[in-house]
Amino acid sequence: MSNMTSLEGKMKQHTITTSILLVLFLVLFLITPLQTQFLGLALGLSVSFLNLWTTYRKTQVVGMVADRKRKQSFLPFILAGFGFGIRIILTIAAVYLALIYPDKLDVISVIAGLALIYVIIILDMLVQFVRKR
Amino acid sequence: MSLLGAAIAAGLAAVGGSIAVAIIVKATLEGVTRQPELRGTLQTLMFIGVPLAEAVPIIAIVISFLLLFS
Repeated sequence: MSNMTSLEGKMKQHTITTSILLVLFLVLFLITPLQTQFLGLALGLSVSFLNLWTTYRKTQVVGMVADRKRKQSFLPFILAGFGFGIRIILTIAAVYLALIYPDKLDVISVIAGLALIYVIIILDMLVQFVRKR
Repeated sequence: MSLLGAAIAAGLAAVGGSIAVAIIVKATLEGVTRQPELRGTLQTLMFIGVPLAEAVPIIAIVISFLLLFS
């Protein structure tokens, strides 16, 4: 089992938390009348999780470069190099979807979903801090 | 005027985010080069730091995008 303070452990932890929240939002989307809000939250959280995954790949590439390990595929390097651009494009695509389908997606909920991954990261940091003390 | 505001917000956000990420990656690479045994810890710190540094620019770019469509 991977250590929860390692890179892979952190990513695994964030994946589990995000999956639980996504399932919760989708269930709430199905059973509550606030469908546009919960679908927007689910879309925003999915996009921000994709953003986090590209950051994870970038971090792995930086570690590989520092270790001078050679990787055959160029894809991780391309992903790391254009990472910020990819993240911005994904975010703008999510907001654009919310703008062109206002009856299906709530813009404010999409933006809140985009910011939710940062809340997850900060809460995870706080939990680690409390556990260490 | 909103076009100008959106352009300035997006541009400044991109510059700020790029500088922040560059500083974090530079510090991580320097740290791993000096102490390779700390690679895991430094990578984890970078993994936490980069999204937090990019949070404000991404939100700023979203706001500038909303300005364009308002």
